[in-house]
Amino acid sequence: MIRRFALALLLLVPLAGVFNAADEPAKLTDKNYEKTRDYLLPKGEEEDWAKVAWRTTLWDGVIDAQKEDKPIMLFAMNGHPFGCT
Amino acid sequence: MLNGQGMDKTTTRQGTYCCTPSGKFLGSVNSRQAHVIAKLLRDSLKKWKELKKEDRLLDYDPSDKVKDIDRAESRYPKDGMVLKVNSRDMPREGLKEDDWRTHAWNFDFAWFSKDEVEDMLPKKFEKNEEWDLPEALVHRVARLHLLDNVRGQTNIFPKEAVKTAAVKCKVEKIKKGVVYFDMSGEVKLEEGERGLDASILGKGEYSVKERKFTKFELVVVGDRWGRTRYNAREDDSDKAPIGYCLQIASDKPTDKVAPASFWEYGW
Repeated sequence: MIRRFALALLLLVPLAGVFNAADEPAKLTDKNYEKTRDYLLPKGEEEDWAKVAWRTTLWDGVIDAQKEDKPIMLFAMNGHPFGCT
Repeated sequence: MLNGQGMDKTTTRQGTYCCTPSGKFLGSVNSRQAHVIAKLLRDSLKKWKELKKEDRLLDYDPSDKVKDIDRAESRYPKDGMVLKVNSRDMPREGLKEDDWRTHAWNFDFAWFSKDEVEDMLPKKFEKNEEWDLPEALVHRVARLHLLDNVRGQTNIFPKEAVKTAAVKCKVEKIKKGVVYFDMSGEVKLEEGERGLDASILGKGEYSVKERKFTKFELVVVGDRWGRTRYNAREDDSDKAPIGYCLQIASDKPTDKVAPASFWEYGW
């Protein structure tokens, strides 16, 4: 039980040391700069989508599909799916 | 062809489509479920295999049409700089672990032309040299990219919403032709009932020999408040912490998308 509690505490301490509670303004300092940066960047499975050999635009895909005699999969959203949507 | 569910004008065009290079429709669906997309791909591939080659492919080289296509991406600043702007809520009490919104993140791209990059340099490369990033560029980044888009699309801030937006730089050291510098600043945006009040820290490296930034990283953390129509803050419009990390983007196709509000650049 103590070990479980200790593990939970270990998991909580890094965040508690870096970030503030909801009712306080978040403070960015030289000390927490790298941890904050790493928290903000996508990681692990958040980047799985980028493993697909996407082309930037539909026509880039048409050019390559024509060369390679392959079908095209198009993912279309309001806002570019590789950018802000 | 509208997406999957018929030809009603109100049906969404968003989603995943399959087609041939010649433009023949193979299938479509609007779903984020992996098994649904997998079925779409299998069904589309089956139809693809049933088509003759002359029906699958164009009867001309599509590369010849590139010059006729005017997209923002054709203005990609390959001799300038592109920053990927990642946004995410900072941890806070009261968020549910099993709610997708707790873990939401988004990104956009901020573009800088070659001339704009040169405007970002100090007058001289000397230790302790201090300078400000150009106000116009900092304001552009603030109002077009430091947005509450964590959960979905939102609107840019108008020019008059910028109350403060400044970044100061200072050379920390110069070693083997690389200028290492620190950045710090603040940003305050206000428009009606929404806004952002945040501090900025950053680190950069400029290669004098290559005449380019080899590192340009900004971290922005502060409070956001308010909401817009599609940014999914219906029940979360009170002041709450948000963060951004801006870093030089890769040269992969996925990082060559134009800024979401490219039209505001005036390029």
